[in-house]
Amino acid sequence: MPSREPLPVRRLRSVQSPGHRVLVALAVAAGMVALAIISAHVAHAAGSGSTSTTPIGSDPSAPPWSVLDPKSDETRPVLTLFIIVGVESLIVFLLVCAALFINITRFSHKPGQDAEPKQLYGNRRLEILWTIIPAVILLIGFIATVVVMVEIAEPADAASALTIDVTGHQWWWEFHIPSAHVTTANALQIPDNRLVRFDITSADVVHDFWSPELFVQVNATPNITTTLYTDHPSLGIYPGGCYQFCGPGHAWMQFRIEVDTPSQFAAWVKHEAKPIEDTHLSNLALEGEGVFLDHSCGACHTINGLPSAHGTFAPNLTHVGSRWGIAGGVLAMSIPNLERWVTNPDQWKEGAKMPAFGFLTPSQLHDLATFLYEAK
Amino acid sequence: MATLTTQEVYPRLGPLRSADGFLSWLHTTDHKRIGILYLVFSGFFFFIGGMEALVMRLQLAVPDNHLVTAEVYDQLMTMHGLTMIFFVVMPVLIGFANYFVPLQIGYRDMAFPRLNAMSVWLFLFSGLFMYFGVFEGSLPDVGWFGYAPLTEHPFDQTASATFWAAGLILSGAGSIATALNLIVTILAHRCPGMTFRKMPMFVWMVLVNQFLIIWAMPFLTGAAVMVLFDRFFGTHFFIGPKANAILYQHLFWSLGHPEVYILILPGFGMMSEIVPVFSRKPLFGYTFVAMSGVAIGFISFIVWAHHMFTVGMGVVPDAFFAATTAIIAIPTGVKILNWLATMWGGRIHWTTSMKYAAAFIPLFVIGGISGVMFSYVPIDWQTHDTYFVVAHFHYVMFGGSMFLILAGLYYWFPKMTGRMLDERLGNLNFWLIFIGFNVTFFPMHFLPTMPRRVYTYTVGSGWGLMNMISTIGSMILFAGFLVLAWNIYVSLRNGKVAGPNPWNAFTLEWATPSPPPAYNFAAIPEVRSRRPLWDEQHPEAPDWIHEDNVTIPAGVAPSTVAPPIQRVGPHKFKPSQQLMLFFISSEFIFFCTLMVMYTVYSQYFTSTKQLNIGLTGIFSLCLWGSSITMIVAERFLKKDNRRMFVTWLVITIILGAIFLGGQGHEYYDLWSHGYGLSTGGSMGAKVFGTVFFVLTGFHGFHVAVGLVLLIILLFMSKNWSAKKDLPVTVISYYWHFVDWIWLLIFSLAYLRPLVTGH
Repeated sequence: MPSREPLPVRRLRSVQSPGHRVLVALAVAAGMVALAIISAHVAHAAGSGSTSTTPIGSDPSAPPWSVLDPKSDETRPVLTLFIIVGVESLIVFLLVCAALFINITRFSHKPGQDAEPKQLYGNRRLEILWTIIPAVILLIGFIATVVVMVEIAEPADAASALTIDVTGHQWWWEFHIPSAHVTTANALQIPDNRLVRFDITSADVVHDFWSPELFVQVNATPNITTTLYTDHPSLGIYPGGCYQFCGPGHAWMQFRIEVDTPSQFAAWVKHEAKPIEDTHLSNLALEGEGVFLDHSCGACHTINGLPSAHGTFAPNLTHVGSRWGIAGGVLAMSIPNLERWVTNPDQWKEGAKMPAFGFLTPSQLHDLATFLYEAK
Repeated sequence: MATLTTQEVYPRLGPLRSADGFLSWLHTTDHKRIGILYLVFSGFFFFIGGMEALVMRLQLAVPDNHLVTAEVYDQLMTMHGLTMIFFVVMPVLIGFANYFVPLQIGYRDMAFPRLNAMSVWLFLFSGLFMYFGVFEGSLPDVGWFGYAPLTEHPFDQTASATFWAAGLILSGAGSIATALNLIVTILAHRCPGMTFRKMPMFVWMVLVNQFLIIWAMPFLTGAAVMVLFDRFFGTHFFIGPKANAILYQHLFWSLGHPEVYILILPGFGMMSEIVPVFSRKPLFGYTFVAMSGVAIGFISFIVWAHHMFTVGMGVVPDAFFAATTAIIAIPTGVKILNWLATMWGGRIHWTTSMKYAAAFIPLFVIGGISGVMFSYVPIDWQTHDTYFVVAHFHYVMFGGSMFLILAGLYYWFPKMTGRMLDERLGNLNFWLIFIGFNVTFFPMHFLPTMPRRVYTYTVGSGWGLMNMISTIGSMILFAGFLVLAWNIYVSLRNGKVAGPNPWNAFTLEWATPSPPPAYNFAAIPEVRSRRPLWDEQHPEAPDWIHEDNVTIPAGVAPSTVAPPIQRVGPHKFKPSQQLMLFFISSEFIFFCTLMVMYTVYSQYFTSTKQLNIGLTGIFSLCLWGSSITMIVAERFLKKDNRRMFVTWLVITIILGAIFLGGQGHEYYDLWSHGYGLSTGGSMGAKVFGTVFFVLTGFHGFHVAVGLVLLIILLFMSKNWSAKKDLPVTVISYYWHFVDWIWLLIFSLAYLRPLVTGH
């Protein structure tokens, strides 16, 4: 810094007293908070349009995501571990705060106290002690960790599990049950009476498969298969998503797993394995089937029962109408929403690889949407 | 104090003049100015990174928001991470180290002032380069960690990953250059009396930190180079049916984890300076604090895969890394206790600097606790890549590193500028930032199911309230930083004049005027303890009595029985030799990353068919022989026999050239049989082409550089003599490294297949 004679000290008129300054600062902060809230709401209102097109999760009856409410044998022990570690940590934190508090209250410099305090250089014994004690605390946690890891990583009766192949794509989850010849996307049902095993991989980039209450996370990595289990899950519907950044559609790789009784599951599997039959479709839907075939949708999407719909690049759409939502949760399942999606997928899910079909006439779109909706 | 002047000790330095004017800042090699440049540039990047964070918070404040699109958000979150880590916290800490390490060790500048200047401009340039993509809509948007294969060509629409990879390589080069500079400065230029046991703790932590940089950065350089090769030359490091995306993560986190210690260790050092000064006591347990820093340095290299617990490595590897992570928590925690004990029994002056330092303790402990929770693997399996992680690392990076940086700023601003920062504005700034920080990041602990890096979320998720609170907090933070900027501006103009030692502090930088003159010290200082200024002010109770266990007979003044000044050095290796040796250790790590990839991928190809081991063996013998001829040449130079020196130098060059020629012949041979970087008859051949050409190619490039250096030596041979052989020895170290690393590469690529059978 080039040296310069210090200018005569001038106080800024408007912020002289400490109290005044605090008020100004608070006013500025409050102004910014207001700005934040207003702008967020403006942006939200400007973008969202009518309520029927808000993403499916905006429905207040959507299932919650909670890691503190485990519902399976794989997630319950983790909560126990978390509580143990949490209590340990809280104690450590309170002790540190207590020490700091004492330092602040007892050892602050008071006016007039200008002599230097007693110079303490160290205490070997104390330092050794406070190295050993944390080591012991950590060791306890580590032992608990290994116990829980082994418990949930490989359950005892792994050989008898129901195997489900999970493949992560940009940006949807493919589920395939080899033993039942069922392939579906973003929606799955599992029975509550047997061990379920997920074999997970990716078709493109690294994803991460997780439904917090049912099982722990694992990455979906290309060229590699990883395994998760869930056992004795409670009945219910559980949301899940992708937990490894995978591109613009990362936020919309949501899925739902429904845990059924064995008979419900058997019925679902039987239904899913059946192809779509024209005899069950309305006239409009049959027209829509024609639109589907005419525009080569089957080149990407498989629909069992349609002669030329064997594509595997995009989600399997057999029984799509019975699913909880469209495209990983961006829209609720309904005919108008299906029309909206097909017209311009990228508008709802940025980066979506499906091309826009807005060139279809409104009646073609409606027929197509009806077909998909009736393919339950 | 000694009576030798700086001019007498370093007569070759020429007349000392301090240049003025704006342009002089562009060509300065003065470590103090370069330190300030680091701080100013980091401030600029901090503003950008902060704006990115604010926009992210506005977008996330309410559910289903459309303030920014997903693609813009992805760019924001990527750049926010990259900017804060590589272009704010790292350079600020390097800036402080640049400014204060030479002062604290009693030296006049860094060991290599021009290298220092290159580093700061390389830093600025790499940051601007990383942002350059904004002009064509390709700001990096792959996340700051850029997991492969997301950074590969089928998955990107823009050049963003290229800017990401190349920017990191450039910035890594600057960091390594500075790290080498600091290491040599600290090892070679400490003033008389300043043995390692007497070094200020800031210097200790900076020293440990620079080893982390030179040994961890090459992992990222290697990974980024591999990604660039995939993108530009079609290699198959991380793309294709045999590619292993997990290997990328291993390489990345081998830098990524030491990186977080790189971001905190100098801050720990500053803490160890600030707390003693404002508590009016020495650092409690100096030895333990120094040793815990060294321990953290070492252990930080074996914890990396705790970022990969959800990859599915298996129970045993997971447990290993859980154990090492738990272990590294011990020295970190111990330091906190040492600082608390330093404050205990003191007379604490609550300057703004001390407030930040004290607030750091609970905030860093919270961050450390959530970090240790992740080491308990199943908990990680239930919180990975959620906002619980975001809370954790902001508590350690912001509540940790940033608070320490602010403490250091308030502490050292008077020394750097000659002015005090206003304490009232400082108090306001502190409380706004402390409250704003906690309001922003504490709520994130309550979002353990909200994924990271999502641009929006739904109402039904229930995450809206915590996000709104967090956004409000970020506005308070913004206000706090505005007050800080105002404080800096106002204090630069009208701040109270500081004087040399406004805090009554203890280390050598406070023995100079504020700001120090270009030459730092009029005379080289001599020290007897860790707190030389305390010794001066308290001749009746100097520190060295305790540090060295000296018994003073009753009634005797300590100064009369002061022990002799401990000798520092002489050092076996000259500074430039040290520079080259440490540089070689860094390059060695880079080669290790390529060799690891080769080893892992070797299972997918056979190489015994296409590689001519015999022929390459002959060329290799030439290379190894050239190492021996180089030694012979040096021996002759040491005996002043310049003619024989030149002869053997020429033989060395010829042998090296034969090796390169042989390599070229081998490459041509392989290409004519269809092998290339991205070509090959089968997938196995493509993988072979990928790892073989890159590994041997980089080695060949190093050989070529070595040959150029040797040829320069040859052309300048008239300059060398027995007394003046330093450049020859330095370059010979490089040449020996290049020769003998080939032994490892040759064994791996040519000999090992003979054993494994393919």
